[in-house]
Amino acid sequence: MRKSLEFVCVFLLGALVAVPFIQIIAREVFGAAIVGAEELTRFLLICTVFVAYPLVVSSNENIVMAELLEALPTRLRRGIRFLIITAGIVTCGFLGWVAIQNIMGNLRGATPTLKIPFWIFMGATAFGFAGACIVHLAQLRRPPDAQSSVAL
Amino acid sequence: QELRYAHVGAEGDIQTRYAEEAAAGIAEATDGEVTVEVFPASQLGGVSEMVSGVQMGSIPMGHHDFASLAQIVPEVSVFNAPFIYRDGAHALAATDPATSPALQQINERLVEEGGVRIIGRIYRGARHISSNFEVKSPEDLAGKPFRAVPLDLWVSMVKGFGATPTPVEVAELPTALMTGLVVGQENPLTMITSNSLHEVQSHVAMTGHMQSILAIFVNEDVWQGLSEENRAAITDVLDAKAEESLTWAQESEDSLVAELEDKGMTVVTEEDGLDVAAFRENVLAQINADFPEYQPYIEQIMAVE
Amino acid sequence: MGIALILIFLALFVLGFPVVYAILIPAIGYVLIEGLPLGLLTQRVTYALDSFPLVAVPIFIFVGNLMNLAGVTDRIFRFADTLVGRLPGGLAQVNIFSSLIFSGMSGAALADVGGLGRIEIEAMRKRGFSAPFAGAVTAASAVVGPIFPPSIPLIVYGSVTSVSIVQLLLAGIVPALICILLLMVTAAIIAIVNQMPRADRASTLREIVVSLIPALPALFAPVLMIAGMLLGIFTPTEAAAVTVFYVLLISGLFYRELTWPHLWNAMLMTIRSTSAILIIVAVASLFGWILAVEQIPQDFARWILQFADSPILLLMIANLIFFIAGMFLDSTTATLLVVPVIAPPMVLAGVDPVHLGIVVIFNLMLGLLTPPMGLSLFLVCDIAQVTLRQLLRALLPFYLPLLLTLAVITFNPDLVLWLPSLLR
Ligand code: NA
Ligand code: NA
Repeated sequence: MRKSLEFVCVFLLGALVAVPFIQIIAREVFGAAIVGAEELTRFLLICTVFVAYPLVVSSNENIVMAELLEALPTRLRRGIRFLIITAGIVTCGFLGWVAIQNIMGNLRGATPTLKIPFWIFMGATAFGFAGACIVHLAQLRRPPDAQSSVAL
Repeated sequence: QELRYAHVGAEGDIQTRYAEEAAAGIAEATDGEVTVEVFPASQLGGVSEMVSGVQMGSIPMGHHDFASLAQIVPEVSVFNAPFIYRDGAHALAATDPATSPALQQINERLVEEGGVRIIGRIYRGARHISSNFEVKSPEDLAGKPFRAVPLDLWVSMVKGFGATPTPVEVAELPTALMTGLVVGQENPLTMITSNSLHEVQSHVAMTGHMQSILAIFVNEDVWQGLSEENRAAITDVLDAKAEESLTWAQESEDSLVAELEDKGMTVVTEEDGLDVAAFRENVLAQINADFPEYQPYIEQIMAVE
Repeated sequence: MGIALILIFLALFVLGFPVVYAILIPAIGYVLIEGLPLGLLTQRVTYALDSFPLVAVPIFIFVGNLMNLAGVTDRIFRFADTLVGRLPGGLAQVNIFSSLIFSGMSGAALADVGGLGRIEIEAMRKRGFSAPFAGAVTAASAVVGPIFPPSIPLIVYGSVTSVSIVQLLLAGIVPALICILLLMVTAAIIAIVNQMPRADRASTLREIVVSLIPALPALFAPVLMIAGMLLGIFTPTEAAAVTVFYVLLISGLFYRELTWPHLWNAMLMTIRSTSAILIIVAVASLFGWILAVEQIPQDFARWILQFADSPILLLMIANLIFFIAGMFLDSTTATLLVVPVIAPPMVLAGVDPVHLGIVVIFNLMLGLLTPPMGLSLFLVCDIAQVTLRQLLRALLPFYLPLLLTLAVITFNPDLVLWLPSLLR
């Protein structure tokens, strides 16, 4: 499950890097810019960010200031950790549901140049939040260890 | 009732003045029953977000190019098509929601398919070509990289200019012109002065290829939620302001030409040998080839007195 | 209502809620209370990322990860060693100078600490420097990473304010050089006072050339990128993609340390970091929408403008605000939440938007070195195996050159704007 999600994300990132590069070649070598290359890149960015969000949650890499939390007595800390995970479940679950409502509602548009339908974008958002909700649910059973920082 | 009104125009632009004055006018005309709160400069998001917001109702009303509504009804872009209006007055007449047959047909579809209605328009001046060399006919632009707004219609028009359409973000436009990523761009004159493009461009060709005209649109449920008198009052205010915007734009164009010449730009008009007819012919041929579905609307628009 | 939202956000944030939820919870509450369409939530969050400049963020994170895995970082360090290792302070100077070279390819401060920092700290400890001092030099010199182009924070700033990113990137060059120079002077003084080790003799020209050749591809990267942007061959975002292919090319042709598993891991790390950062960009724009509707930025602008109307006074206020913001928020969050409120009135009152951008980002980078939310500090503590208290004590003298740089760039707009003005 995780492996296949990672595979999709790596593919999206690869395309995200390749498209601007191909655009330069098209413009400078062949003298004809690809109209819509920027739009495609932006589309890939949106998909990468949301599709990868469950991975962020499961690696416990959300950006957070945990200093105060770490300094609290153990029982209070556990209580707040539980509260945070519950908030994650509710927030992500709610947004995932809203995104699905969005898709089923009047979301008929498409991007101006390449005509990429909006429901694909909103689909990525729905997937990201719904997926994160499920990962948070799993954390309720097995709370993660201390927060690890993002690798920049 | 309070209405949020969003647009992306910056301080000093005609559209910003229009929105402010229209908001004041509406409050007065409806005796304060309807008040409009204006959010300029993309405060509530960019163009496609704003259109979605109006569709959804989170933003009751807004204004932008007609083409921004193309995500609901693609043919609405026809009102932005180049070389279809004789002048600014014709552009206003052909986009009057009360009388223009073309606009009424498209408005019906916008309401039906997107829950959005066009209730007014703003005239913002004619668009002209600026470049860093003299441009008199499409041959002068042949094969050169030229900035295109990344929308089908603009791409088609730039092809009609004879140039190679090259997309560039607005924020990067001055730098792209300076470095030669693109050799020219087209916009209303006010945009050239407000973005100091005269520092990186030497020539303006007064092609007037497009009449820059913006649509004011409103969420249909919100609109129908207003009383009939208030709707009529709002439409009257918007109409009167539309006529005023034509005057503002025409007055400012004359002073802008003088200002740009003052700053060292060479302004090329038909008297100097600018072949507007050649541009018109090439561009219209390209548009007709790329958008056959516009044809009936273009005929209706051209027929408006 | 707007103030209540901000307070709830701050409370949740301080309690240790991930920034994403600290923003989302009050925002969702607002939309429910006001009866706004729920679709607003997801549409706003999704559209916020529909921005071409932001595409450079994942690409530059990727470049940083690749460089550290492909052995580019080692070559930079060795070259800097032969060049400045003889100066008073020895490896401390090498540490600082390497950061300058590294910053020409990387757009994030933490990439410097996490990659180059490991090598630097280990080498310095082996040669007899104390671990806290090694860590302090590493943390202080990493500040220039996002000031010298390329830069993720400057790209985010440019995309929020619609200021030309090319101009912003060019404006960062001179301040970065000043900062490096002042840091090297400081390190020299500390080294002389404390009699720290340095190389026993200056490198011969031959040795310099020998170490230069492997580092040359890395040194050439910023030249390639800046020249490409100035000649109109590519935009800043495209420059990022060029750098990726460049790093892949030189590590394939010259360094030959990059393996397929390395590449896979670099991509996964990049993806998670990108998502963690940009999901905040996404939800912050929802928060920004609500603040705009509540007229908070407008009110704040009116309020601030009655105190000060001269650009220099406003810049002082900006310094104060962003220094404090940097202490509590990470740079992306601060840029997204605070810049849209502060920048417009300042620009209206005559502050140059490019100059303001450099001042803002420099402040936020200092925030990486100040508790409570000092990401650089935590990372260095982790790598150097020192406590926060030890590190802060060693870091204390280095705040001086950093604050001096900030003063120089605040009061000399011409210095900052000289390079970009060549392009105006
Ligand atoms: Na950099
Ligand atoms: Na360093």
